[in-house]
Amino acid sequence: MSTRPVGSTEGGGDQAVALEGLVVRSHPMLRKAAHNRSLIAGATILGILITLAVLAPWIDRYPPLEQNLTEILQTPSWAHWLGTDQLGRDVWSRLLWAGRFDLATGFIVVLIPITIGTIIGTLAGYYKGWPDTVLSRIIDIVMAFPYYVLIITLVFAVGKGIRGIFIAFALTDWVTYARTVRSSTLVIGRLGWSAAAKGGGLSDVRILGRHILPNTITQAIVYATSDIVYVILAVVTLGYLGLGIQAPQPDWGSMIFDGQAFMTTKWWLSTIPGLCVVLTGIGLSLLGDGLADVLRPE
Amino acid sequence: MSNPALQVEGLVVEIMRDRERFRAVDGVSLTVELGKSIGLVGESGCGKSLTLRAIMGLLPERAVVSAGRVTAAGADLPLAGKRVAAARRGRLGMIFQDPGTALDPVMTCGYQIAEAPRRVLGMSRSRADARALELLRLVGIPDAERRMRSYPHELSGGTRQRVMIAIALSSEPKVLLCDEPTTALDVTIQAQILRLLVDLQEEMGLSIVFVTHELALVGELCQDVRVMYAGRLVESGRTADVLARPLHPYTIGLLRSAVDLDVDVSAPVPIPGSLPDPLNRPAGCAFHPRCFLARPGCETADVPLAPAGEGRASACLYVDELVKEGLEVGVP
Amino acid sequence: MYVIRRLVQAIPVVLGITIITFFLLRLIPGDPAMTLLGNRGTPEQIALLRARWGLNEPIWIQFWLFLKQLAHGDTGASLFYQVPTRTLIASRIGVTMSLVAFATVFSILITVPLATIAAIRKDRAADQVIRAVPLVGLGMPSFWVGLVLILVFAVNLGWFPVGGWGDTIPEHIYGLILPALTSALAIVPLLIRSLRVGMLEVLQADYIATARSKGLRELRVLLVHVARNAIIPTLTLLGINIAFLIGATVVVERVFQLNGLGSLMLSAISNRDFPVVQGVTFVFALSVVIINLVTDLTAARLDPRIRLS
Repeated sequence: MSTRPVGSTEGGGDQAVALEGLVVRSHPMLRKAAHNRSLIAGATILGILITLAVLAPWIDRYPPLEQNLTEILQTPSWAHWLGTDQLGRDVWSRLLWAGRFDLATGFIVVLIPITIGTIIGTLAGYYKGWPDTVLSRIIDIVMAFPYYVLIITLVFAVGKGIRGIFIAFALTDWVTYARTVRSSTLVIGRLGWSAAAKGGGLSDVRILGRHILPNTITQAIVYATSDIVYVILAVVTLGYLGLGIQAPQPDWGSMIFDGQAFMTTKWWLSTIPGLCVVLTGIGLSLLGDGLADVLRPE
Repeated sequence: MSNPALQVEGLVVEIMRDRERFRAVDGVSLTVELGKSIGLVGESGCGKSLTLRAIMGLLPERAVVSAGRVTAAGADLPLAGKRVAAARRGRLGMIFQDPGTALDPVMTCGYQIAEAPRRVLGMSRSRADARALELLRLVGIPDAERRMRSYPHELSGGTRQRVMIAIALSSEPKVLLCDEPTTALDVTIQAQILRLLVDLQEEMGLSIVFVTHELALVGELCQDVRVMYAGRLVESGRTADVLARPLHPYTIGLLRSAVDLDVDVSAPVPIPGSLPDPLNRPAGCAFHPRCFLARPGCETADVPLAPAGEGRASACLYVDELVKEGLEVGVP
Repeated sequence: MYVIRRLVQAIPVVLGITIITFFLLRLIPGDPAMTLLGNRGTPEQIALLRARWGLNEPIWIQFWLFLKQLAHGDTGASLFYQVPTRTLIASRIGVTMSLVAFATVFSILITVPLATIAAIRKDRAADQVIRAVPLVGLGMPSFWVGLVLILVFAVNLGWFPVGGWGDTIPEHIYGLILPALTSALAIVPLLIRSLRVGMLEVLQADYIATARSKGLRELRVLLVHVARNAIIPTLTLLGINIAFLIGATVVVERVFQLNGLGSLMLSAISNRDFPVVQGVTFVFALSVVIINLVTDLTAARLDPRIRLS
């Protein structure tokens, strides 16, 4: 006896529909975004930090580079909201300007790896074959180098400062994007979707651009929010080691280093810049979590 | 008869979804005698799986038993809290729909089958292993010794399902709750597993509660059947009676929508529409929007399950019409 | 077998590392000879030094020599310290590896209980608090965490030394606690996040329902069934993070003034000491490969499905 009720509500098979919907339905996504607490919290925190950084030229109280050797190492007061450092520079102003540099560097630097990584990853996942194998080996090799070792060596190789930072990250950071995008592309390929599109006679570029990229790039974007945190952390660490944003430009990392010598008495000199970094990290993480929720295909 | 193997009275399970509470199982009662089986049939989403899970104390997070009583062989079973698992040891066992996900992927079959005998029944390692071997043979798995050391992913769907049955039997329950155990299997294997369950019932006196969306499957195995719709029972009675002369439009619909390749010449007729959104139940009888017998009277009030002849009950206001017309839609 | 396959896969990676390290350093502007002699060196002295160090040869010859030396286990002599690189590395590897080992242990000790509690008490107070850890922790710079720990525990409470390695074994251990904790805190946020999610997924799985329906005690279900399944993806993550830790020793050793490979690396770079940088990078990268291998093999041991693919 073999019976099967027809017309029952069994069965899914809505994957293809869901994926297509992802590309089309951008408005419901905005609505979802507006309700997502993580997203809003993260965006708010970041918004505040970025606004402060942008407004630095107007809300600092003293030029950040101006030294005043008669007023060194002062405790926070009305005149100097966060006190002064070992060269008499106003800490509040330096904090603002350092944030300006560090945040800007972080956000801009990360664009290169995203671009490179997405392109390479998409090509590898789409065309497969030997480029994919070679790419995977390259990724393995790059990942075998401990993160900081590679960055520091590269920065040394190319030169300290902003240029070094850019190149160091361009060369090393693309790897994770490539991996993520590659596996997303492979998954979509497996769903037979691109095969169908190809069968319909669309050119490769068209398929990549309209069907594959919009789906794979969401993963990359979500990862980017954590990656910016890592980049900023690295920028700040390089600053601490003296390899990053060069003096006299203020940088949270170098501020922490400067304050280290006075840790026992003026502990806030080192602690507060670190807290700014932590705050940035929190904002970006919340944003990332929120985005992941919102962008997730239903 | 005193002390049925399992008795469920007025079970209500509530679920939280999107900040609202609704009843996914609304006052379900059933009784299973020793050595007999009962089928629980309904469309996907009607609450039958939840009923089993509630009985077993395995409800998912957002679901809670808000009313009802479950007794096994006369003993009251707690429906929540710490003593839930302990109370069911040796009394109830359960098998699940998808053997692919219901078996622990990192342990051998032998280990999983021997685990309850060792940890729950207190057997020694060698005795437990011997018992596991016995159980593997009992459920009809060839080459049992080798299978002891196999991992679930190395086995076919049908074999996995047999292993799951062996696992469920390993704690020596009197009642086996089966949550759509054949749905994920192909048709020939389905028949084999059903056969196995029938044999187990006969040879071991095992009582079985068999949940499925295919009404015809229960004919072989279950003496009694309950039909469920949108969380409530809409028909109950002896399987043979219900299948031969269904007394609820939904049951009729289910029978008509099934494809019986052996018998039917006519095409299957699916029931139009789909299950109502539990947060938006239709007024009155929940089935009336899809019912071919619907009258204005169906919208006014809830229709409870009411007796409709010897050993039968139906939740339809117009049961008498159905009795009179003697609709013969049954499956031989 | 799986083991052999993984080992074979590792070889091109190790080779690639070697090659890249070698060429990378030749890119660094600045001349080791000049750095060593500084302004005091005459052009002839510099030229002599360069010749002695083989720096004038075409780069291919240098590479070939390098490979030959490597095959003999000889990683060259430090340009700066005039002793074989091997000696330098050997004297410091103990510090760094102990640091990494302690840090790993700490991170496991912190992550497992916290993630388990968060998963079991999902959405309740404990979970919310624990979930804040990855949120806040991800953005904490290691060196800053180190400084804060020094401030609180060494300066204010005096429980631990401010830095350094000490001379006796107890002093070693004592001196490593804060640095190890610092390093651990760098990776704990990620690990907690991963393990918590992993446990939640496993807790929902049907096979856990099966285990419970057998009547097993909840503790057993947790320890035997949930733990073994949930830990596998996080184990791989742990391996990757230990690799990160190895690199982060560069920073942590600076903060705590430990004489390990990390600080050797930093000073070697600023001294343009090719052989040392090469040697240390090679050791680092090799450790990463080994650790990844070990984690993969452990994962395969735990999860039979991996062995077959």
